[in-house]
Amino acid sequence: MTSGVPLETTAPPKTREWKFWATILWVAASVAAFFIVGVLLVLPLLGMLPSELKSHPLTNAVGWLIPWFGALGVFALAIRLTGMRMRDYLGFVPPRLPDIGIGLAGLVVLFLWQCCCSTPPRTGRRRHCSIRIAGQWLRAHGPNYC
Amino acid sequence: MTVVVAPVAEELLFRGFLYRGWAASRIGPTGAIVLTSAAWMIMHTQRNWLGLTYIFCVGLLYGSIRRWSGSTATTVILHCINNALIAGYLLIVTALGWLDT
Repeated sequence: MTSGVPLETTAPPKTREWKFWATILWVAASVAAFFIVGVLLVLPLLGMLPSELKSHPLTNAVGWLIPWFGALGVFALAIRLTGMRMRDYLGFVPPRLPDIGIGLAGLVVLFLWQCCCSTPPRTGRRRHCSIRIAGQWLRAHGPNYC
Repeated sequence: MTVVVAPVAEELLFRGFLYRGWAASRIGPTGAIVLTSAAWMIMHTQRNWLGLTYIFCVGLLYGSIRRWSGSTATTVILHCINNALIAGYLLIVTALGWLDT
């Protein structure tokens, strides 16, 4: 049996999207957060490390990751203010195999195009010529610069 | 770092946040693809003009795939594969002595 009280209807949550300039401002804020976290947190931490650890690749990776999480926090705040889920806003939906296939084919075409157009650097030109003269053309791909 | 962290961070920024905001604005998805590609290219200023053109074209490809598929995860995977292949290629040619260092 239903009472005479009308059922409460819940309105869909209000969402909004950041447009052109607002997106740029949020990116600028995230860049600022990246540098602030880097200067205030990472540099003092690096200063405390022994010198042999400072040049370690893992230190380098962590040194970039910590400020990146600061920037990510700004993005998370921006997306939260839109009322949308982060996954929906950023388009983190499962990838489809045909899309990956098309993308890989495109990358192969672009890579081959770049190989065909690229001139060897000045320092490598002598080696390029000697390879060509030796008949090892596969190793000196692209146009002949000798 | 080059194969996982950089692609995830860059795709999150360019094909994720920037593309979403700019595609919803007056410039539309096509303008957003071109602009995010240009912004991504500017980030790689250590390259020569050919390298920059290549980066811009790859940006157009990633942006188009982001638009068709609606998925940033797809472009993240492609970016990781691309960087892994280039890193592998450079390692091999350096090890074989084909590249002057």
